[in-house]
Amino acid sequence: MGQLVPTELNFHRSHNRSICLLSTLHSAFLLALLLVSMPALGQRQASLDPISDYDFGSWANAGSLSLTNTTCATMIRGNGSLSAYKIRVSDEYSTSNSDNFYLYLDGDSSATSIEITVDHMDTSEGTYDSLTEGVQSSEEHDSPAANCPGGDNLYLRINIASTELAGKPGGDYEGYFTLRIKRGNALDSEVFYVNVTVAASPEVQISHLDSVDFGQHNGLGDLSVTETFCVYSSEGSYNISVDSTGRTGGNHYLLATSGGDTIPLAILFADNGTGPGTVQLNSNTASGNGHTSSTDCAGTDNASLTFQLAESDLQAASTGTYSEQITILIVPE
Amino acid sequence: MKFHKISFAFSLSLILAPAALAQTQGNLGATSTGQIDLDLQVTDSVEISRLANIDFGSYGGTSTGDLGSSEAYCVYVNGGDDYAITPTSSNGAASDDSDKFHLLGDTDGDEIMYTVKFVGAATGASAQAVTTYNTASATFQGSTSRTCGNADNAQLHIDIAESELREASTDTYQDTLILLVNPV
Repeated sequence: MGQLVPTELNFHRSHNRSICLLSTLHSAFLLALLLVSMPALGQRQASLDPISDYDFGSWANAGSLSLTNTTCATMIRGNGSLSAYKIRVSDEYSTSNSDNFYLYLDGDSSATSIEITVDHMDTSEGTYDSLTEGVQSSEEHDSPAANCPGGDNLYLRINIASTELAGKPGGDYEGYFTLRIKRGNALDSEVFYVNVTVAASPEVQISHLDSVDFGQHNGLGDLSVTETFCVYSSEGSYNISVDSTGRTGGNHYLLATSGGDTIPLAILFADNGTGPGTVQLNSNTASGNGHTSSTDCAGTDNASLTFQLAESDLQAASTGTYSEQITILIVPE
Repeated sequence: MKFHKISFAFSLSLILAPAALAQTQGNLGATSTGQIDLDLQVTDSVEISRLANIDFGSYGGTSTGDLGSSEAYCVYVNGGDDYAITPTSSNGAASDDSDKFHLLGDTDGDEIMYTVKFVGAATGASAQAVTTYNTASATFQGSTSRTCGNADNAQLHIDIAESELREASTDTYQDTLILLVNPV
């Protein structure tokens, strides 16, 4: 249970010391002093039980998260009557003036953050209302009797949208917050932590790509160019697929920059950095093994695509310039 | 008389400015996409093939009339585009008429003038107009296949007038007809 805030009590103790100093005065004055002391019976005392931390565990692309903890919060006058109160949650890690609540990677407020929302509910109300960081709630809570004989009366719900979690670097995200109840000068507070671990998603990267210039074809021979590149995959294996602006029915073509001529293009994949490719890619995918520790493949290419043009197709093509843009998609397997 | 022709392949390389190529490296993420550009320049290429020599045989005292012979062949042009043929010969233009071709005798250099006609089909050359020496023919369409699908898509026709044959001394006459194919 949080510490009592002594402001109002000190006020009364001061008056009590006055009673001692004036104990020898006239009884009428004592009576008057007694009347002055009567408001002490109406002074509020705030009491907030500790609230559990919010541990969301590990998140791995499994939707939004929400977790509710409860506590007992009371606001009782000296004469035993109950008083309403308001609550406030403050983000103790945040150094900005944002109205929002955040969790930070490794609790470092300068690192990547995840925005969360905080809702509160009084059991006597039955509906949740949202809170703004560092701002007292506009809704009042009704205080139950001391120690909440009917059970916890204050519900605090933390929400984390999947859109906030998606794409975040893997790691532990932590927030440190203060929950405060207050009415007049009576207040009490408790701290709690919010933690979620974003599981590291499989990651891939394709690099070391160079464009391919077939040069000139003067009428004789097939053309074949192998382009090697690097694929990093944290999971090791990956799937590769290719697309092209001129793909029709799963087949790829070079397109004349003027006129409508096309030249059929074969694309062959090899799961090595030397080629030539052996697995034809049309609309299908192929499997490869990426470098698992270096996004740069330690400087050595580990995959290749071979682009082939047949002599007969080249001869059937009119004079001109032909081009194509190949899009290569790498997906963790 | 023997009449020789040669096959001639012609290739014209155009100097074209290279296209600006670019590539895009992939980013690290749940998926990664890279892009590369492909570029190719197809230059003019033509080929004439399936040619055979023409042997008119002998023309003697019992022979009468003109001599004529047709020869079909294949012309490939990349893309199946158009071409024209410019004919010349190893003997050069006829001395009596520079627009015409001539056979020359092996012994005394006597000449027999002849005419050449072209058509862009496997038959029908004899009905075409005479082509002038070293002048481009009419325009014809080539095949997209270097072998024309193992068929012919063009024909030439040679005519020798009886009057030329009567004036010729006894000898063996020959020429090599040179056919230059140009894409149009």
